[in-house]
Amino acid sequence: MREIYLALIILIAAGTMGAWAAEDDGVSFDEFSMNLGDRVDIGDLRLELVDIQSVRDGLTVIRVSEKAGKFDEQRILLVNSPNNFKGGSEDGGLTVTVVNIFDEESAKVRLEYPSSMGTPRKRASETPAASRAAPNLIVQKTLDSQRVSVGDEVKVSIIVRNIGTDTATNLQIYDQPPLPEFAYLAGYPPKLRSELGPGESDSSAYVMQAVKAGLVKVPSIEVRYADSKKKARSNNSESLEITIDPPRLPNLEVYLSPTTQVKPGETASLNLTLHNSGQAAATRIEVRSEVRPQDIVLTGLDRSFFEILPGKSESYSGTVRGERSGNYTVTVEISYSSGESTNVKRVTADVLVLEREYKYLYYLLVIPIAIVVGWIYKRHKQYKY
Amino acid sequence: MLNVLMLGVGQCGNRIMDAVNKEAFGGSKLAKYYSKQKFPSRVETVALNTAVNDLKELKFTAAKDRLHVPNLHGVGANRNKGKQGFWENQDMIMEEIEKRGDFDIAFVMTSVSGGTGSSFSPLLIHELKSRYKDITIVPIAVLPFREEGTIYLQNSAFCLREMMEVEADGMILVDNQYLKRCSGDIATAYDKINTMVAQRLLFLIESLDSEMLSVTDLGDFKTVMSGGLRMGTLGFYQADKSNSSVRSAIKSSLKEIGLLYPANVDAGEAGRAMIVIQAGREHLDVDEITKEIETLTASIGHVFKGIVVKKGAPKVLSVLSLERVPGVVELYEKAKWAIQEERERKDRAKNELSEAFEHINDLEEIY
Ligand SMILES: Nc1nc2c(ncn2[C@@H]2O[C@H](COP(=O)(O)OP(=O)(O)OP(=O)(O)O)[C@@H](O)[C@H]2O)c(=O)[nH]1
Ligand SMILES: [Mg+2]
Repeated sequence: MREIYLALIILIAAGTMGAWAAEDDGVSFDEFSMNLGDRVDIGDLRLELVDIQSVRDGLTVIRVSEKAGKFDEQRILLVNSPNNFKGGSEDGGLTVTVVNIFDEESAKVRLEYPSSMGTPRKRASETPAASRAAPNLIVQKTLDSQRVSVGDEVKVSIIVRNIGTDTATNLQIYDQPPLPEFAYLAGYPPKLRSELGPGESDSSAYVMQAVKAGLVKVPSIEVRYADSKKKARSNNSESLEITIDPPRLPNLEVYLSPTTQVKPGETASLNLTLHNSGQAAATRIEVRSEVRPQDIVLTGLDRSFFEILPGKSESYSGTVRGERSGNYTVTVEISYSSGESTNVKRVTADVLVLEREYKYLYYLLVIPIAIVVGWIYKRHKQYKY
Repeated sequence: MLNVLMLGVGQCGNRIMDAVNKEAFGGSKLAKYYSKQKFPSRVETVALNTAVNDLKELKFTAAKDRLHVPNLHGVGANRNKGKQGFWENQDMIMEEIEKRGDFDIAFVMTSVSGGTGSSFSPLLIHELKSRYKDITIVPIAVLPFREEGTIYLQNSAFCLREMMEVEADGMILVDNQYLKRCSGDIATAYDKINTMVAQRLLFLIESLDSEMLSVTDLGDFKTVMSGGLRMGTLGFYQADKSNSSVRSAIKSSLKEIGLLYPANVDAGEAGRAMIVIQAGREHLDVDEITKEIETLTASIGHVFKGIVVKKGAPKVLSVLSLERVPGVVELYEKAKWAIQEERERKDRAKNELSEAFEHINDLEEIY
């Protein structure tokens, strides 16, 4: 027993120490007022305010790079929205937020970083901003829908805009090789103009069809280009996600009047309704009917339909003709195709053919009347002169 | 069971016979469609007429019992024409009657004033008498309204005489003139008279042919009818529940108001009588009845009595033969006057024309 208590105390102590340790590698932040070209160095990383695209829309271009050169990423940041570079401050990277844009040339930037990285130091730009002419592309990749079903088409649009001050040349798109979840229908691979002057943009689109269900990460697209000094550059779009639902299926619901009464020698109608409550068209629909025992005649229920669209219904009726009284069962079998497979539905209904008894009652009434009428007529003849 | 022949001759006779048939159905209009006639005996009815329309008018007489004398449309009150018609069709008429079998008694119903009935009836009675040996024949003679005209009056006079001469077994008089007080207008008066006559005749037949407490039969009836002038009539009274005494019912049946021809029984105008009493057993006190009949014999020569037990208040039918018929005598006086006047009219008219013709004696047409 004592051992167990001891173990528990040790466990709790260990948990508490773990918490302290986590607090140790906490996150610190600092805010900097930066001019275009200004940089902030922290640890191995460098943050640079590359450009202010639009004061009105709150768009700035921030570049984060590693001194060793492995990591170099330039993004467009919206004011007041935190952006994680290299995993973000929680993960050993940086989280950058443009807090305020003062004018075309300066903004206030908030930098979050792991405390362990040390203290950030700001370095003012050596060259004035105006003299740094360079191309800079914004690449956007969008899907026309975030959620589709197998079989649906998805349109992918790519827009590239040169927000830089110099012409981008030798543009090349690097899109991921075709994803297995999609079949590529038209427009792939996308093509762009090979040159974009400052302020110019170009777009391209292609269409693909979802073929497999799942949550798909659509990788970002990379545009590589060169500036006027033939220096190679590249920009990425953000990566996207799309959910592909299992394929849409038709679902035929069948309604058949459950019980029908018919007098012998007369006919009654049986109403049949086929309703497609699924999400895809049901095709090649065949209706076959059968009655048991076979002493009564059932007509008009057997039919074929080419297709029934989702949400639509087909209603029609057949007739039964009562012969011998009794209970009969009508079975209707409906087969339809839903893409690859064929479905079969079966419904049954009861038909009750009534007894002929009422006929006798009728005779019971008619015969005496006929006798009375005949009698009166005979008397009338007797007394008619 | 008695075999009874009822013959209705001429429109008046036809209608009375139709009333007999209606009463045999129980008096209801629709009964002929579902019910059966209830005659007390075997009764055959024949309606005979020269006018087809009169026959068509009948409702309760079977078509086979309506006999039209062909080629005639009534005889327009002309008895000579009527007799001619009878003679020409005598065989057909008699055959039609004879095929209905044998008869014990025949009632011949007719008006004495019209043409057809008044001329056919005496001849028919004569024929029946000669073909049916033991038959009793009683004409039911309907006297006209006195103001119906001179021809009807003279017809009545001659017809009545002929019927007395052909040896009918008495005669029952029905006087329209006397009975017209029954109703305001003639048509309903006729219906009422006919119904009265029909009910009494059926009662009479029943009394001649039923199980009675005290029996009257055809013989009694014949004896009564052959009394007095061999002319008689029928009286009737039906007591109501408030006064169901048999004695007063018998008295009432002989009162003038209950008779088909007016006669004063208390003053001894009746020769013989047959009184038939029908009542529930509780009303039939035989002593009382006998006492009443005894008082009647004081004023009537002989009285037969018959008693029929039948549920209900007393009903009494009296058959009378008469010793005095002042009404008939008066009718003959009027008839004589009527014949004279008719002749004078004719002569006057003839004279008027011959005087007119005289103007052109010895003249010729000139053109
Ligand atoms: N009580 C009674 N009297 C009738 C009826 N119809 C006619 N009369 C009388 O009968 C007399 C006329 O005789 P009808 O019987 O009509 O004459 P008919 O025998 O048919 O002869 P024609 O018509 O001349 O060929 C008249 O005095 C009528 O008042 C009737 O329904 N009931
Ligand atoms: Mg007539």
